[in-house]
Amino acid sequence: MSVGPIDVYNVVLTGLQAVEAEATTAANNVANAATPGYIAETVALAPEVGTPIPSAGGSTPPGTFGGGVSVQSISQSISPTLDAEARKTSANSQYAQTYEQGLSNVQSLLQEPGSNGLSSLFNTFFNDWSTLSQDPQNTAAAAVTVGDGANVANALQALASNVTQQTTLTQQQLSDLVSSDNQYLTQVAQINQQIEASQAAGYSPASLIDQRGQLLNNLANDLGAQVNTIPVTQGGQNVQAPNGQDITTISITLADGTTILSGNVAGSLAVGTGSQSLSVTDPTGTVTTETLGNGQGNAGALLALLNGPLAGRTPMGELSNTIGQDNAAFKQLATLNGQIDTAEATGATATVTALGNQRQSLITQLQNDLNVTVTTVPVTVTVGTTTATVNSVEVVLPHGGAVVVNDQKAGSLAASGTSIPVSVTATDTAGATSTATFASTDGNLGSLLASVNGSGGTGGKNSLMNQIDNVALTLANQVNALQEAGYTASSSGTAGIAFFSASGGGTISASNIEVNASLSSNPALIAPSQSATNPNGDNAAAIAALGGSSTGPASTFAQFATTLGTSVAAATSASSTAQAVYGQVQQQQQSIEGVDTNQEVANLSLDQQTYDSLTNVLSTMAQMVQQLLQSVP
Amino acid sequence: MRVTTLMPYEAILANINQVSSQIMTSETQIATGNQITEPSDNPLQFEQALSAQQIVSASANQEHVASSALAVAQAASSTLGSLAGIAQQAYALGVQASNPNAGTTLTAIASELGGLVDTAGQQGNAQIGDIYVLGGDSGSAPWSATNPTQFNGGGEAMSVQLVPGVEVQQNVNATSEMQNLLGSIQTLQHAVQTAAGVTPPPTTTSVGDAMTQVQSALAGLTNLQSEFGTQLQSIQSAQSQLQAQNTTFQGVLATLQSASIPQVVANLSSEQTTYQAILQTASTALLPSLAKYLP
Repeated sequence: MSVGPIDVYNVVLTGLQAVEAEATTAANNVANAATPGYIAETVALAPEVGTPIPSAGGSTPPGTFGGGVSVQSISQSISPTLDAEARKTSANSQYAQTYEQGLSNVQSLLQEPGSNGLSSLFNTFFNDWSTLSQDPQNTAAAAVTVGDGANVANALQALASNVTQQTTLTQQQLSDLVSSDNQYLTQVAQINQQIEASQAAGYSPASLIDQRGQLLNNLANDLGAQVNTIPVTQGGQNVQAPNGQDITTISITLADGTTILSGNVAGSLAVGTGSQSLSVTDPTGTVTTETLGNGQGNAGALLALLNGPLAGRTPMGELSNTIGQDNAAFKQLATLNGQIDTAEATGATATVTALGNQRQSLITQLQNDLNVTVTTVPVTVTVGTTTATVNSVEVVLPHGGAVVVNDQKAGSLAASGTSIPVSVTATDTAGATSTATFASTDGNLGSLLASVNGSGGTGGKNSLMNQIDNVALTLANQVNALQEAGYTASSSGTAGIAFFSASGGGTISASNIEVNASLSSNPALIAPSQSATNPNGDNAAAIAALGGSSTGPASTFAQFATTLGTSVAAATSASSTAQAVYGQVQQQQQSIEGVDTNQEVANLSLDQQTYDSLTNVLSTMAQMVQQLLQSVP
Repeated sequence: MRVTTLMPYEAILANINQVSSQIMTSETQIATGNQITEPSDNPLQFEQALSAQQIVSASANQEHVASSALAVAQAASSTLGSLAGIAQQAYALGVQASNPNAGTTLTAIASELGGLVDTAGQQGNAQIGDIYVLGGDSGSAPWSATNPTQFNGGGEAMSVQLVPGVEVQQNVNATSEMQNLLGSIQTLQHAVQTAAGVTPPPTTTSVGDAMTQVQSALAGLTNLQSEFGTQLQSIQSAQSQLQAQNTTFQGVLATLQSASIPQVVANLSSEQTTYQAILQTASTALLPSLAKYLP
């Protein structure tokens, strides 16, 4: 068999076609260099087997003529390992950024440090009491004190309202995110169907794979979703492409393995009850509740915020606050008992009266919160050379419970945890522990305990709203206790009334704290004096001292703001680290899958030379044939 | 490692974002004058700054309270001095009245003594704000000409807490001294009227005995003034100390909270230089590709 011009033309033709394929691919790569999710394509060429060279008498052909070149495939430079790692680190980065942003938004609501922040308002308020202590009958000073008290209450209400609004915005963000993710899942399912059809026809649709890749990245960013390659089956058998390879598709799962898409069938997501979880319906229709977890994308961060800092006012949080307030009251009562014992032993009647009023305020708080029983107990007190037997008080929990205050000794309460059923452990004044029994009618704590154990109010213990409530409660309890124990500044003074109250009644919280309406309309009802017959500023001085107390409302707020600042700083650091890690992985992924314009242009330049050469071969061949024809007479 | 088209863009963009964030922080520090603009900037320093702020605020207020208390105390001391002066005037009038030749002037002397009673009573009503410098509260019966020996003051002296646990008296309980003074001058007035021949005689006390009472009242006032002087000095001393303390605390707060503007400006300058460098590098490194140089 011999070769002729037609064979040469065929070889040249294959070359020209191969160059055109390469040029088209290069042009497509350059055009999509900046397209998100685009994976660079390469053309795989292979030499074609040509015609054997005729043997000159031997049986073995001396060789074969080249058959030109053929395009084997146009494939993408996919790295499944890097893709999976990029999705994982991207999910982690998105989680960290969203969580940081959520906390930062709340931090900015504090307006700290600044003259409009609560700490500045607390300073002004307690300084007013200090000024009033110097001139307790000054009605202008009393009015200013009441006015600044209202400013503090308003600021607490505004902060609570803003945090609630932030919670609502976060819930809305979650809802919007779930909506878009459901669309992504539907789109991925449709694209999977198209890809399967393409594979069945014998080719791999690069553009569809790129589109799907971008959607998978979105799902990873939102949900921490993971992608798994699975075979397409029919009748229990793997479906194969014309080239004999198994046709594959993908499934998408969450970090805990819950499937949200399998091949052409998409599951769906919905926001769970209270916007604190996701309701996931898998492709088979099974419904599960998911809270995702650390590092699981934007939704994971939003759920972490809504289950933690932005959980709102929870019964568990209120229970924790109440226990904290009452533990502080036990200690204060024990201290007061000691002071009253000494005053009684030394005959300081005025001091006994003044401190006795404060003690009664604390007892009232404990009775309201815990339904305690208070009894008088005799104690022997020695002051210098004077020894006397005086009456102190003992506070006992209901239903034969522990002694939580006995003269100068204080016990404490603690919640067992956040998982229901929650119980309360009492440590008595001797240090012995026991489980405290509270019926639902045993004060505020009994009611809260019933609410927690009856409604599954777990978690959210450290929500920002509960912590802000704690600031309001500390302010109200401590100021009210002294205000109610004092007297108006007159030689015939009347007993003081609560300074702060709850708008609409009920338990005071950051959302409803306000200055007592009676005091607002008549600031002269303020109680700066510890004596009903001799107006002095001692009670005002005692209230002023709360401003610098380490257990006072200003310190409680400072601790809250500092803790939040620490959380934000940690979240910022985690976000920076996560972004840096993702950046590195992304660079590696880009290095494998991205388009290098210089490389494409270099390839194109080579293709241009090859094309020129082939056309020269063609024209040379044509000249040779022409010459041959001309030689024929 | 193969460097693709997008990689340098993404790297430069990340660097630009980072430097932009630093520039924003520096600008906020300059605008607010604070090195801590959010609690998360430095949580520990933020907490210390809040504590220092509370101390500075309380200290400034205590200084103000001390100043107010000092004003009251100085007024109280001054009033005691004025009352002592009135007692001396009354005694001098008594000496005039004792003169055997004072006959025709006795009525005028009695009238003048009556005026001194009025003046002393009004002095007893002196107030700084709502505080009577001679003790008492606004519930007491006011001084009036019909009840000249009554005055608003006369109640307990009022203490003020300059710092927690430290109380000083800012006014003075001058009840007995005032009543002695008013009573003795009025008695002297009546004695002079009796000597002038007013009938029925307002008193049986002689001018000499009445002058002895005035002298006794003067001695009481002088003693009280001397005792109160110690309190006044305490308040003055406390005010000075509070002033110095306030200055110290403000310095601590400034260290914790205030930004060093030269330092921040230097940082900003450095960051801006870096930012410009990144932009220039981007403009030279990113634009050209091989395609530009092919024929």
